[in-house]
Amino acid sequence: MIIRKNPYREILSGVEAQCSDISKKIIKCEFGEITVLFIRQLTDMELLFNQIVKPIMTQAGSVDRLNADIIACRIVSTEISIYKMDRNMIVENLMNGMTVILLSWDKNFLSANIRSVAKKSIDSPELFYTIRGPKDCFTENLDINLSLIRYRMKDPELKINLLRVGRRTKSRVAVVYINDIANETIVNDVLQRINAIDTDGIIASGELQSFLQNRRSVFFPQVGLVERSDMACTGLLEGKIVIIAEGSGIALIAPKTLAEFLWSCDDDYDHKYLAAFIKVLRAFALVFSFTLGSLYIALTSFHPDILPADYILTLAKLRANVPLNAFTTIFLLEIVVEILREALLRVPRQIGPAIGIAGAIIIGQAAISSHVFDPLSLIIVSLSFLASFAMPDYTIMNPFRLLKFFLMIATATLGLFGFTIGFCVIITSIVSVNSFGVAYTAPYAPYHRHDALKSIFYSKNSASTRPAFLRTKDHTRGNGRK
Amino acid sequence: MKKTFRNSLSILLAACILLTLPGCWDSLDIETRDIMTALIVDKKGGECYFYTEVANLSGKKSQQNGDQSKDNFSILTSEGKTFSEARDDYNRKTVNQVFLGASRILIFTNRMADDGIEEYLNRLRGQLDYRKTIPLSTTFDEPMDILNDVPENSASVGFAIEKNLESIVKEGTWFSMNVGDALQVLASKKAGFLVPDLAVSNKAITISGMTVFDQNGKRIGKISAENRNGIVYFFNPHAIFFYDIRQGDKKYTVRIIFKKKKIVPAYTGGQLTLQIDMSFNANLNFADKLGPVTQETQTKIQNQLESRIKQEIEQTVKTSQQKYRCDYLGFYKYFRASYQKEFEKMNWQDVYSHAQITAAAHVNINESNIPVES
Repeated sequence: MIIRKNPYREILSGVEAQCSDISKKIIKCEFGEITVLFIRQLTDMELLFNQIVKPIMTQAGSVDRLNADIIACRIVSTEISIYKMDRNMIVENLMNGMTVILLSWDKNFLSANIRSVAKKSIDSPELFYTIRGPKDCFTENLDINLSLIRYRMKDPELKINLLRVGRRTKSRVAVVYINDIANETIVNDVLQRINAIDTDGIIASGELQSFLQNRRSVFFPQVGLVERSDMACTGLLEGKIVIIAEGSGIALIAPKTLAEFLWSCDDDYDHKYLAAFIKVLRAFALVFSFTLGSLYIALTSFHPDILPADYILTLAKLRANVPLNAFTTIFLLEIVVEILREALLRVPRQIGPAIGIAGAIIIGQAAISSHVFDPLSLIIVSLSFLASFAMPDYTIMNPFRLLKFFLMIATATLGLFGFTIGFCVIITSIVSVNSFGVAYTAPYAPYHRHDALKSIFYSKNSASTRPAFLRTKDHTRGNGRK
Repeated sequence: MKKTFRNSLSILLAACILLTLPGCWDSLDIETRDIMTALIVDKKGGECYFYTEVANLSGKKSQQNGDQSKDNFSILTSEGKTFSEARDDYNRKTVNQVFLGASRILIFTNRMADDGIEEYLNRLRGQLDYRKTIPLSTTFDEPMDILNDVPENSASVGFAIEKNLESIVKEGTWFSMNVGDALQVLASKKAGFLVPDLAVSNKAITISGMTVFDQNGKRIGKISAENRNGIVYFFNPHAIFFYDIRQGDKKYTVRIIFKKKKIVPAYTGGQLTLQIDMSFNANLNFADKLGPVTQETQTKIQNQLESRIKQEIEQTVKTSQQKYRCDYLGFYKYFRASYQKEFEKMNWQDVYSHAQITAAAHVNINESNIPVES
């Protein structure tokens, strides 16, 4: 038996020194030494032994000649690639969870994909709950996420650009779009922004989102969140770009306008008039969520005379024994509500309702009976709190949670005049935002009559064209019916 | 670097201003004000008096009154040689700054009305915190009798009177007259106006009629509530009245609904002619005896109604022309619209009191609760 000296022993020892958690299986045969390198935590051990080690051991002796090509074509049945022997390439493959097979007599090495990453099954959505819509939502596994999109979108024009982001994590990021629909400039802009990322690592889509925002106007989200594959596909058909980061169950969608943050996929599945009603209701809820408290301050402290006389008396009686002024009352209550919101989000689900009860009933009831707060201000703050949950995409509420305080201070300073100034500042800042070159307030400003109407009264059978503000390559969807 | 520093400084400065100023300007929480709900203005022996009903927010209950709801309001009075002095006296008596925006009724006593209400109304014109939509009224009773006579179904006299007036205006049996309307008429200097008159009767506040004010805001007379039909047709576009008509051996009750009016002024050779044309819809509501009504009877009822309403309108106008020599029915607006130059030059009071009036009433019975025999 001829045992040849392994020419890559140095490479092997170098790799072992660099990656301490790799495992090794050495198979000796008449041609030399076959070394199988893998990371135990990322490898399916059953597949490793049944489809790689066992076939090599049993068939290595029965062939006249053995090299990387023969192993890849005749012996191993899994997905396998051949690379030129290179230490860095070996390390990269190992870090990606691949199983590396080194032949002591060959200048090539093999990389087999028998990765096994702990992953959860396709679950129901938590952020974008739907009543009628599909409930299969993205998982932390990029391949599963892409498969969910592919399953719905059998279009050869669907393009998936896989990019690597992060110096150390080298996370895969998929930029998905339909080539003959999506605007090329926007696609290039997205790709450019992702390629320009220079950081040690991207762990989840939230981190990626911060790199996709326009630097000058980061306050309002310009990228939407997508949790369900049907939402992603609807966006793709509109001409949008879906960005999925490896290891994140939430994908991103761009461009996104303010009005779209108020739409839910359920709206498309419901009757268009009901959907229109709900959309308008959400718009009101958005405005209420950050203006109600300020209006209460303006009416109570500055301009009670604009209220009907009955209400003036009721309001005055409610507040008669409260020691705090209207601004302090609302400000403190808003802070309490924000604390409750944070507490409810962070605690385990089993304790959540208990905190809700403690916050809403015990603190609320006690605060009113001890005359710390008046009941109306509690109602106002609760209403604004509830209204903030009416948004399908919660990220749009984040800037308004802060702007609410700005508006309250402006109102407490100058009354309704301050409210008007504050409101105008907010509107101006919203209007000046753009999402990948698309006006944030489209299709209302700049106004496009057809799109504006369709944005409210939308149904698939009557929407023969895509929104003009997305400047898609293919503007038409179809005729509705054949 | 410089720009970042400047931006940070601007944000810091803005934040400091916003954080230090809250509550510093004209803000005053509603619960820290004395909310007035009714005001009675009186003049007696050369002194001005204010009688006010103020919401009692502190919740302190009086010992005498058993009914707790009545304790929600207190009565506060003040006096002075002038209105300013009376107001000054009032301010010194109130605990908090007075809030006038919730005033529900402004009442003038007959003494005050005789002396003239123009001065006080002009005071209100300049006071922005008074609503110009406060209803006006007068009374022959003593102010304290009115303020102490809180209706059983309301805690406040102000609210009770306002709601009473509102409800009868909505029912179509009265018309609204507020501070703004009075100021508008007074500004013309050529016409008078009517204000509801309140009276305490059987421990209840009732609207007993209307006080006639001349172009100077002085009381010149009173018209009883029974004679108001003709007047209401001029002011309330939704006027509704019931008439009892006797036809044959039956007595029919007819509901008259005001439809429209047309007033055409003509001015030739110094003679004013006013042509008043009013249309009404009518509903034969019920009769004292059962049985259908014939077409012929219906026509007779219609004619009888037309003549009766015409008579009421003519009588109403005649009273204003001959008894009071004052255009409180607002004909000047129609005349001014057609003859603006002449109106500015003329003595409207004289011209109006000698004007020829032709009135016509058209009644159309378009509904009947009683079967009609064809």
